[in-house]
Amino acid sequence: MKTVKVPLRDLEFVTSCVILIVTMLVPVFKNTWVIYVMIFFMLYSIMGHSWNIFSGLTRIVSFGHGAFFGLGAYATFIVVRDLSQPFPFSFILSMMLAAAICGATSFLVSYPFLGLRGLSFAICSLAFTEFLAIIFTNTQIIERGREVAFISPQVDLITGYYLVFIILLLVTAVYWKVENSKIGLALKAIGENEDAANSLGVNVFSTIRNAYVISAICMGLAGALFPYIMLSANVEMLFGVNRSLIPLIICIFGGTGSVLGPFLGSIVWQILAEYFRASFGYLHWVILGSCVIAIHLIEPSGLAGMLKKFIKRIS
Amino acid sequence: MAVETTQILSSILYGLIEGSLYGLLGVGLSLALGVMKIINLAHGPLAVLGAYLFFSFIAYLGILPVASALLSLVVVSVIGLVIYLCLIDRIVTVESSTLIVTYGLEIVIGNLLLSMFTGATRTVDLELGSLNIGGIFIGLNRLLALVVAFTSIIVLDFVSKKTYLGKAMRATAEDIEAAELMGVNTRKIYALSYLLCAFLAALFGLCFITTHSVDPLTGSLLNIKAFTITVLSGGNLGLALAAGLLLGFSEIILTTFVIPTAYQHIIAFAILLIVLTTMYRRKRE
Repeated sequence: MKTVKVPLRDLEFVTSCVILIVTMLVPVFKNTWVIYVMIFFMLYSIMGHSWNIFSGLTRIVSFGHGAFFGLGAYATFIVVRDLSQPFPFSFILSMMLAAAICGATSFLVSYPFLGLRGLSFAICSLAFTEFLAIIFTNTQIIERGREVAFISPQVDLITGYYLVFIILLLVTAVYWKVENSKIGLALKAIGENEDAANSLGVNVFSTIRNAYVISAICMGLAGALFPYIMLSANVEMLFGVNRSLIPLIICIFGGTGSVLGPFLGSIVWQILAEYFRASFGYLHWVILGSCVIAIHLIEPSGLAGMLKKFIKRIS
Repeated sequence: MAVETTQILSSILYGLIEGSLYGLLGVGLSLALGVMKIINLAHGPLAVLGAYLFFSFIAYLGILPVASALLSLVVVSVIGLVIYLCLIDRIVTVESSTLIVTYGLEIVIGNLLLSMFTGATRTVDLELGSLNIGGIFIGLNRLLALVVAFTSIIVLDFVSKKTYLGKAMRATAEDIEAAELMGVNTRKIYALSYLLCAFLAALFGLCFITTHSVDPLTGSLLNIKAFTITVLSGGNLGLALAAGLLLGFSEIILTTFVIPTAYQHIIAFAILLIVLTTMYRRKRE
């Protein structure tokens, strides 16, 4: 078995690199629509990777990573709109602020939340996101209620594209580093059997807390990028249930606990979403929801799992 | 002073009505959690589906309210049975899979309703008039919802204690292997429990749309409230009513006297977060 496993991991790595290189070269075509679609592909991949760091490896399903997306976006609004910083500095500052806010929040909530498992944790994380959404809706922090907050454009499309690309590279590297290190092995062991991992000397709580904080920071970076691309947002777009849903769906499509998963998931998601949105309107969510159920029932480890099985069979 | 007394009395009355409705909502989710050990995220959306079927039978087909209520109860129960047999049956033992599949169902049902009925809020006015109880005007539709909720919880309690079906359900909930050894067809019991859950969800939906306005995506909010009641009651059917009343009273009384109405839903989230994080922690050696 060992001879099979090592090439598979290399294959994942190589495929991911190819996807990243292709992504890097896309702006050469100068097609605005393609660039927009690719920006969202990258953003969703970032969200997928950050969800994967925590939920993919430990198999503790989180329904509430949208909270960190919203908090990250809030950091950008502070820096660009309220402090009105100029471009290169504002970008670095907003990323750092987003990381700080999300890191601190996730660190604080990890103490009460990470004592929970399974559906208790899932519902708890969802309730936390909704809790924040209500607070942000009813206060002036971003903009009152469902009103849309704007920031002035700071970067052109191509620069924005490469900003997202840099963060994608960073987050992919973080995921790869986490998965293939001691903490990744510990997380996988916890995912397989927590009590066994505990008795073999893994400090369960601090390991999953670290993963949770890293994952929240990556999600915060994705959120902080969002206003740079969209230039406007309201509470529904930032904390809405879709933000928690998308990383989950993408990882179910692509495959949890694998570096290739979020890439494959985002590609499939973008193709399906763009195609069905154009032709079916709201019904596209119905079709996507059905696809989630179908893929999960056919192959719980997603497209990456299917690919692995296929390669194992032919090799 | 007189104004304040009526205000207090009316908020108690409204709290009672809201609370019993929440109790009815929580009972369905508790049943699925108790018997099948699954968290049925399709519960809220099925309630909304029932409500919308009721609405469309009356508004578009012109069927009598009583007949449309029965019809929508039957339709939602059948949909529940189909959902169980086609999807949940094969993954019922895997916790994360049931979460993901029922979450998928939540997306499908919510957005199906959204594409058919748009995002506008709907309500059914039964035109029953209102009653004056000591200076408090209360709609008969609300009283009807109160009666339906209380009766159905009492009937459910009776069914679970006295009939074969109820006993078999409780036996399955307690120990599935022992129940099988005693000759209980557990697969059938699971299917029937899911059907019953869908039925209760639809019943709640009917009561809900006659007293509140509903939009297609209310389902996820209802899920969280149902889960709040379930964790408060620990899955016990009798206590679910008490937990529902607690939530109803605290929502009504707090929004009337203490906090702005916009924060109404935050109470359920706060109770949920506090109860979950203090009482449901994983035991560590």
